[in-house]
Amino acid sequence: MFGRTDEMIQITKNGVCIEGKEIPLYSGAVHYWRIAREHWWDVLDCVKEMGFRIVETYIPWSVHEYEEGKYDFGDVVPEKDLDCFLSVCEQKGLKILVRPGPHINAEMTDFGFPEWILGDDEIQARSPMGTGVVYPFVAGPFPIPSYASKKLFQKFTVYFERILPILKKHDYPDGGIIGIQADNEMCYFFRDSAYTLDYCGDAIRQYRDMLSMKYKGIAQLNKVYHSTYSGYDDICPPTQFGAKKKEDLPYYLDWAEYKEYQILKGLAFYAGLIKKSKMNAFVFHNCAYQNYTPISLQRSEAIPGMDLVGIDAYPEGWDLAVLRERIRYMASGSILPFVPEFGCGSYFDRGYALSADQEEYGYLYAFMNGMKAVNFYMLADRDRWFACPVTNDGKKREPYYSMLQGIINMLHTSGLAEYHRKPDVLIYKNYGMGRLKQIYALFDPNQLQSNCLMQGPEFPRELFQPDIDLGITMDADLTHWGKEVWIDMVCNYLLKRGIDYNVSDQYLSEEALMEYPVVFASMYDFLDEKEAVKLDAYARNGGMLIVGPELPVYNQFFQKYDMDTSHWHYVKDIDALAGIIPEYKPLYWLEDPEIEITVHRKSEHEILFMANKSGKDKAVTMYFEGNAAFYGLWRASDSIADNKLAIEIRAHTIYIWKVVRGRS
Amino acid sequence: MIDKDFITKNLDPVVWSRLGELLQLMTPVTKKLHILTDQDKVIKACDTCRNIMDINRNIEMLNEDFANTLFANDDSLEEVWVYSLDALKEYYTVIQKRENYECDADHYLSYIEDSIEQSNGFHIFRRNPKKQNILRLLANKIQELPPDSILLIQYKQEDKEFFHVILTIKNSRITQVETLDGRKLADVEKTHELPLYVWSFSLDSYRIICSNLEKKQRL
Repeated sequence: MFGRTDEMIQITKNGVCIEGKEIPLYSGAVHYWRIAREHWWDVLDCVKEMGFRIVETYIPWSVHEYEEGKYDFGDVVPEKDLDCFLSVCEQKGLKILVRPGPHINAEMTDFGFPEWILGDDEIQARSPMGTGVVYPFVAGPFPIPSYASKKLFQKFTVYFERILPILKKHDYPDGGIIGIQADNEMCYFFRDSAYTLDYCGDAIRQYRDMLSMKYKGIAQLNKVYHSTYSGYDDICPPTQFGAKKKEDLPYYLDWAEYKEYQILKGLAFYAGLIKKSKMNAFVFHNCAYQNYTPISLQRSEAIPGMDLVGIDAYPEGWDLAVLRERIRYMASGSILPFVPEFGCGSYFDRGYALSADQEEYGYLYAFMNGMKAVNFYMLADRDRWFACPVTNDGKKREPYYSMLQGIINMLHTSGLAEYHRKPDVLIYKNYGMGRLKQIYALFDPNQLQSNCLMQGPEFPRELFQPDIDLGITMDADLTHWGKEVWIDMVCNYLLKRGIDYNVSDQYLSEEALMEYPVVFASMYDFLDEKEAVKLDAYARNGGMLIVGPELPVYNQFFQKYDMDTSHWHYVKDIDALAGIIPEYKPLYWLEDPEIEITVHRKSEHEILFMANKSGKDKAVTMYFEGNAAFYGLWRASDSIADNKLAIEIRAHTIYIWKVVRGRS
Repeated sequence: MIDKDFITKNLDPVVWSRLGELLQLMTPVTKKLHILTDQDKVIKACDTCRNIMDINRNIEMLNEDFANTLFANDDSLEEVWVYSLDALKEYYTVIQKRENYECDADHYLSYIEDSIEQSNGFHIFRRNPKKQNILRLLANKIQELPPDSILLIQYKQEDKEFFHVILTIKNSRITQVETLDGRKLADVEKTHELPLYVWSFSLDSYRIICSNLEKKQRL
């Protein structure tokens, strides 16, 4: 159990524990207001028949408060009868996750914000030029709201209090609601670069508050900034990179930190609002896709009142490299590795939908890499979404329906939620380098594209990178601040050798860090002093800390800092790795880098995943020690074998077995 | 032209999954070279394939002759954009002004494309004339139709259907987007009770051949 130990509903490492009974968190989305009311029953019957016990829905502000102060909960439009929909879910025996926003997206006009909210100058985020910041959506461009806007908080509170009686009526144990989401995909509406926004009044005040808390006195700030400000009100945020040397960097890095802070403060507001309502439901949030600045899953999950945070996943076809990193990142740092939106079907302006085979491959690959909980988004077709397992009028859509039904059935019968993957190796990314690369821009043009139908002018990010010698080493991959050359090198090395690993960064707790015998940490010339102490303690307490491509010599303020790195193993390039990492003997191995194997364990029991990542069918021999019985759970057949097993595995598929060792 | 409350329904997974491929055929992504300038010098040049180029020239020399030389040296290069940071900031100031928040998406897309051509400080050189964006093409076509009608757009490849979409148009605005998804066209037409127009294309070896708009007789 974690966190909410005195609560009726608790998050566990296996799922959700409701009054002492643990259930896996497998749910799927259905949007009541987008389905004709008479079809609610049929759609939910299909959802249940697929094996789901939890259903999820947004509760969009613009749908229910159609004019300021005018509400519709089914009196005008029958499909808006939230109370009735929740009752129908309960009648079907389904538990419910609700997501009241304010941000919805869901391909809704204005992303589910009421028009009068977005039209309010006090609510809009601001560009460095002082204008609003347009999101060019195909249903109409709209100005992006600010997460710092106090007026937005006030207005949303009014709406939330209006829907609260319905939510409380259906809160567990009186009703089926077991989870409620605090806002949605907070990442500046995908405009997550440093200088695109937010220069609105509330944001600038909040920025100065953060500086004040960080430096605890203007003198200390002036010392770090090499400045002469008389007070925090004199400080204006940077609108572009202007540092000439490394000592100038703290001012810019603080802006990157502020952009993280704004999200955390906004999220804390929404989580707090829900908490104040005294609902029994757990509180969760979904990060859109980032595991780098301005997002941190661990920091979001540490917000008071927040119980669970996950990252969404919309994999593209057969290429699952991004999914691998994302899931392994959650596997190291979250209470319960949860994908709150796993693409099921597709948004109408994506240009394509995945085939059922591609979806199956993505879902199983995520489970293989440590996903423990998932919300399939969407289960039923709706306006501006297609290729779901259930049609909008409650019919099964094959082959999607059978594929997902099969997976849910396998998950329940295998008890996979109780099995855990535990790699020995951790990849520890450098969040600070991400910040530095993010702020390193002379201009951050707002993206004028959204999906395949709105393709406005595009300006390459590289054009605005200033090429200044700051006197420190930067990561060579400037294409995106979420990537690092040294990290990619290490990951490729491990993948080729079949060595399983998780991914994290400086926000991982010391206790969690200690669980890994080997940690690869990317290092550059500068490192936060606290971070240096934490990693050094890990190395001195028996952990193998392998660092590169540089050794740090400066602290976070770019002052010389003597770090005792005598217990660290420094590796500049790949050639040096072989001599350092310990001899690794996996439980199962084979000599084909295109085949990936992962083992999940529950005491002496094992579930074995095998992924054929290539586009070719393969015949492989898997080796292990001793005798084992393999019981096929997915695509695989039963076998009993000594020391090796011959397997034919189809291209781009994942096979799963339950394995019992030492049984003839 | 696109109603902000338009809905989609009955999107066939196979048919609608070809939308991206179709758009790519109609308006292929082209390689552009962006040259960022300041006062009289080049700050940086980078193409849309992320290649940084060293262009050591005075700004006055970044003219049509220079662009033609670049086109001659690189067959894949289609456009050269030259602009200053100030011009870019001015462009973003203009296109993000409050009065734009109410426009239709297609109008906004055309507006941000046109504004760049008209902005001071932007010089754009093209190998070929600029292609119209798909939404503008569609808007022009809808202007030819009665204000309330249905438009079936279909693409065929070797006489087999590749893609289709049925648009419901009310007051000259698209209010609904759908595909047949297993239904007969006659049934769809009956539910709408609006005149049906067909705009068909054939995909012939990566060329798109457009037919004239024709009014379909009531089925």
